[in-house]
Formats: sequence, structure tokens, C-alpha cells
Amino acid sequence: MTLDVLAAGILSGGLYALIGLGISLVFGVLGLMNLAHGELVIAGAYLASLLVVDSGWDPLLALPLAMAGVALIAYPLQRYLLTPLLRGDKSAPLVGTFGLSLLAQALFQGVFGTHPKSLPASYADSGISVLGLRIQTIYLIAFALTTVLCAATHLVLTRTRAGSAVRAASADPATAAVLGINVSTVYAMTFAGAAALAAAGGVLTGVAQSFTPTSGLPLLLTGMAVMALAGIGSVGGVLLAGIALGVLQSASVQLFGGGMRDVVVYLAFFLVLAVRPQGLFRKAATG
Amino acid sequence: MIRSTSRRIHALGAAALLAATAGCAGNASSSSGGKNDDGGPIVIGTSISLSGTTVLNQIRDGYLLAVQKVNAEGGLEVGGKKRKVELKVLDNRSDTNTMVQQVRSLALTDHVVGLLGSCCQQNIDMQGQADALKVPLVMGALPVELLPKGKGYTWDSFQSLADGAKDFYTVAAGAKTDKKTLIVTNNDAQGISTGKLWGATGKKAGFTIAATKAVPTGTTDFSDVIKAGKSSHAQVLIAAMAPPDCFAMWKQMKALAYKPKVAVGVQCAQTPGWGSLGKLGDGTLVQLNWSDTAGLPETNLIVSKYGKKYTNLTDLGSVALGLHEATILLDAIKSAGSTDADAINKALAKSTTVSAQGPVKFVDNKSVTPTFIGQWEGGAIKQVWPAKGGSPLASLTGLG
Repeated sequence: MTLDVLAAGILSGGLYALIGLGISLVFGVLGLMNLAHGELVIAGAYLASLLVVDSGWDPLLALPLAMAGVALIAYPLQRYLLTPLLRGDKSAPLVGTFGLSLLAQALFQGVFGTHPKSLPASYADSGISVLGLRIQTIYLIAFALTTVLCAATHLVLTRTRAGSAVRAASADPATAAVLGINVSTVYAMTFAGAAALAAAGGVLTGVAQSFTPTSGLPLLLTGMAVMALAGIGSVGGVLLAGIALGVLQSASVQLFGGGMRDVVVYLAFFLVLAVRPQGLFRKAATG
Repeated sequence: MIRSTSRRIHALGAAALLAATAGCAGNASSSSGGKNDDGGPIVIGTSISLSGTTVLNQIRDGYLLAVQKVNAEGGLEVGGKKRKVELKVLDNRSDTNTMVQQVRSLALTDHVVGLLGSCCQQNIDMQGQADALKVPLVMGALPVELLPKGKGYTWDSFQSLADGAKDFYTVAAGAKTDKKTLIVTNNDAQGISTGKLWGATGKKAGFTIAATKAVPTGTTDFSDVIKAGKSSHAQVLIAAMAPPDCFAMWKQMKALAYKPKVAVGVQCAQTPGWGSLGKLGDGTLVQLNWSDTAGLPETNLIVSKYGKKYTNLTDLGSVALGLHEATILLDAIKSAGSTDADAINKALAKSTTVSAQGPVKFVDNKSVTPTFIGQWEGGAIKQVWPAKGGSPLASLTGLG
């Protein structure tokens, strides 16, 4: 494998990790497979586009607002719709998030139209040379931001009272409730936090690539692949899994051509599920 | 809690039912039903994708424009008296199974005398239904080479892929390049055949195909493609991919300093969203089915009616396409002087309609419309080919 293939894989893996982090967080804490996660990613991109395309903001300045905006939308969804569904039939929340996914796509189409959009920025199509390698600046930024957000998530979960409450609610919601933890609020805060991370991924995706109302599904699949490789409950593992996925994709393109990219990735995905269902990095990192 | 959950599931179900009802209500855009031999309005219909992954509001608007135009003149003369035309529009939500059901419903319940198409693969799938139901179907948005041989009830008036490729190379020959060409397509069957067609046409036009790459839809890392372009020194780029793929590739090409001198985004640069690339999109060539500067019939009508709603050439071109298709069908009903499906089908075979995309002459159920080459500049497309009505070719500044 050449150095540029490795670099491209590692850097694109940063973006994959950011998209996978939210799914992993929600599944790890709430036990909820959020099928609307891709739409939360795209919601971040569309919210940012209101500031970037319509008002001329830099996407990186719009990013925190998009994160906050999507988190504000996500909180009541979890608190008043999904958390009650979690207490019922196991399939109800899954169907609920699928319904939200379809609803969000229809809303995006109605409000923003169906044409692809992109978030313009000087670093979207610029490159820098590092050790003789040409690297797309936005992927470098995405990788750095993902690292920061992963570290922040890890610290919040392990070093704060809120993190303790999240871990308690995740381990045993009934006992946590007896101890005075408002589990419904913890769930909603976790979902909102995951949505904010998704929104960050959306803004970066919008800068590096493009987005449409139906772009969420492939992003959801990418996130699920990252989560499966990482294992549940490992923030550091998510970052490593994203990188592994990126490198695997780049290497497969180099070795077998573009046509085999997805085949190789999903083959690895199924192999990990079959051989090591707890994920590749569960023991390697704590979180 | 179980009761509460159950209530919420019911609420979700009710919401879904409401949404479905709203969707059905949206379909009833202009219809009172009625058979076509009772002296009431002549009913034609379409099952078209107005939601889901493909939204064809512009083509629908073109259909409506044609019907409004005919009705403003008192309707179509059939059986010695003028009758108004009613267009029944059903949204198939980008779903082929829904389309099949809707086409059958239009034919068997609404007794439409003719059908209008949707787009792309759906048009191919619709052909089988039209043939089976023996209802004439007029369509566009499907390159004539891709229309399978059917049983004679489907009529396709659209561009030829071969003409589009040939016209591009004519334009590219006018630019100063080494004629080395990189072709990138999606790796599905249509992408591969497009690559072969453009490769063969390029060779005939004196270009050298330096590299050919096929990538899956949804690719975001084009580093191997860019490497191939750079190492083969290809100065002409042909990218025939889904729009999001081209967006990612254009950004990556600029970042990794691959600088072709001529580039066309087949399919992908046609989207008005290309303008959101800003300066990066400037100079990219695009195939068009219509141009407001080409002197085509009905241009003033289209621009005056829809110029404010649709501000870009590709959207207005889709309105023109819808107007063109519907006019062909309405003219055939008029020529047949009857609402009999076979009489209309025979009239279609002899069609000499001149409409928004030029003159019609069907050979093997296909009538080729002209191809135009446009170029993105400052968020808008201007025609650069044919020279008549076009602007001079500018350089590819976005990637330069």
C-alpha cells in the first residue's frame, strides 16, 4: 500500500468515525438503533446551508450552531416520542426512527428541494502538501475535529457527573431511577448529544462532498459499519474503527479497483460480526 | 406504560394514514374521471414521480402547459365537436410498483386515451404496461437508444446518446488540448455502456482515450481516478456519474491539483445544484435538451410562464420536454379525430408535430430531438453549441 492511499484512508476515516460516534452512543446508552441517524447528519448540513449559502457564513462558524440546532430538534423527539416507545415492544422504537427518517426526508424535500447542495468554503477544494503527499484540506480539518469531539465525548462520559448518570442509566436504568437519576432526561440528553455529533458530520460532509434529502441512508450504513467494527461503548474504538474502514476502502480501491470498494468493506463488516461480534476495538479502548 | 406506548403507536399510525391520505389527495390534481366516449372531456394521464428520490415537477408543469394551451383554444376537435382535455396526474413517489398500479388504474378505471411518461428507468418499465394495455404512451427523458423494442404503443421523443457524445467532441476539438481523454463513469450497466459509447465516439473524433475508470455510485474518494488522469496527462475529462459523485470528484480534483482543460459532467452537471459549487463549477460543460437562445418553438411561452418559477436552463428544459411530449399526444388525438387508442397510435406514427423541442418524425417509435452543449459560468448555464444562438467556449476556470 502506498503512502498516499494510507493517508487518504486515514483522513476519510475521520469523517466516518464522526458519523459512527452518534449511532454508537445512542445504541450503547439507550439500546436504540436509530435509523434516522443519517437524516440527523443531513439536517446539520441543511441547517448550516441556511447560514453558509444564504448568509455567507464560513461553514466552520456555522457548525456549532448547526450542532445546537439539531440537538434542540432531537431532544423533544427522544423525550416525548422515542423514550416512551422504548418501554414497550422492542420493534416500536425501531419503527419509530424509521418513520422519523421518512418524515425528515419529506421535510427536506419540501423545504430545500431535491437538487444536490454543497457548502462552499476555501478549504473545500484546496489541498496541502505534507511529506510529499497532496492532501485535501477539508479531510484534514474533519480528522482533527473528529479527534477533538471523540476526546470531548470520552471526557464527558468518564469525568463528569452527567457522564456518570449516562453510564448508570445505560448499565441499569431501573436502579439508576431508584438512585434519583431522571433516566428519561438522560436518554434525551444523550440523543441530543449524538444528534449534535451527527450534525457536525453533516456540515463536514456538505463541505467535502454534497448532500440531498436522500443522502442519509448511505451515511447511516457507514455509521453502522463503524459501530459494528468498534464494538459498543468504546469512543476510542469508534475513532479507530472509522480509520480502519477508511483505510480498508482506500486499499481495496487500490488493489481491486473502485468497483470492489463496497464489497470489500461489507465483507469485512460481516466477517467481524461473525468472528468477533463484540467489535474489533472493545478491549483496545475504554470509553 | 403499555397503554401509553400503544397510544403512541396508534398516533404514529394515524399520522402515517394522514400522510398517505394527503399524498392521495395530492394526486387528484385535475380529474373528474369519466369515459372518453361520452362527449365529456378527453382524459389523458400520467404516472410521474413527484416525490421520493426523483422529483419531476418541471415535466409535469410542461404537461399542464400543453393542456392549458389546448383548452384555451376551446379543446380538441374530435368527432366533429370540440372537447376539453383533462390531464390526470398521479405521483408514483419514485416507486415502480406504484407506477405500474397507477398506469393500470389510469387505463382501466379512468379510461385514459393516452399516457405521458415519467423519466429514465421508469419509462422503460412503463413501456410494458402501455403495450399490455394497448394505450399509446408518449415519453421523453429516455435517450432513444435505451428504448427497448416493444409492441408499438410507446413513442419516445428525446435526445440520442450518440449525438450528445459527438457534439461534445466537436466542442472539445475547438479547445486547445492534447486530445488525451479520461472517462469516468459509474460501474452499473448503463455507466459501462455510456463509457464504451463515449470512448468509441472519441476515437472516431480523433481523441485518445488515455484512461477509463468505473466507480460505484456513492464514491467519495476519487484519488485513484485523479491519479490516472494525472499520470496519463489527460486534458479532456468526461464524467458520467450521479451528481453527488461529481461534486466530490470536482472538489478533490481541485485539491489534488489535477487540471484538465475541458470537462463535461454528463448527467451530473445538469442539476441546477451544480451552481452551489460556486467558482469551482465554472467552465464545466453540460449536455442540454433545450436552450432559450436556440430559437426553438414555444420558447417565449415557456419563459414567460415559468421563467420566474424556474430560473435555470435545465429546469426550463424539463418544462419544454413536458410540453413537447404532451403536444405530440394531443396533436395525435386531433389528427386521429377520435379517442380510439389504435387510431391515436396510428396518428402518432405519422406525427409531424413541431413543438418545444423541434420537429417530430418517428422512426421505429423514436424521434430524435436536438442536443445542446452548455457551459456553467457564474452559477448559470449558457449555450456554447451549436454556435448559432450560442456563446464562445470559455476556459475551464473552476479547475484551473
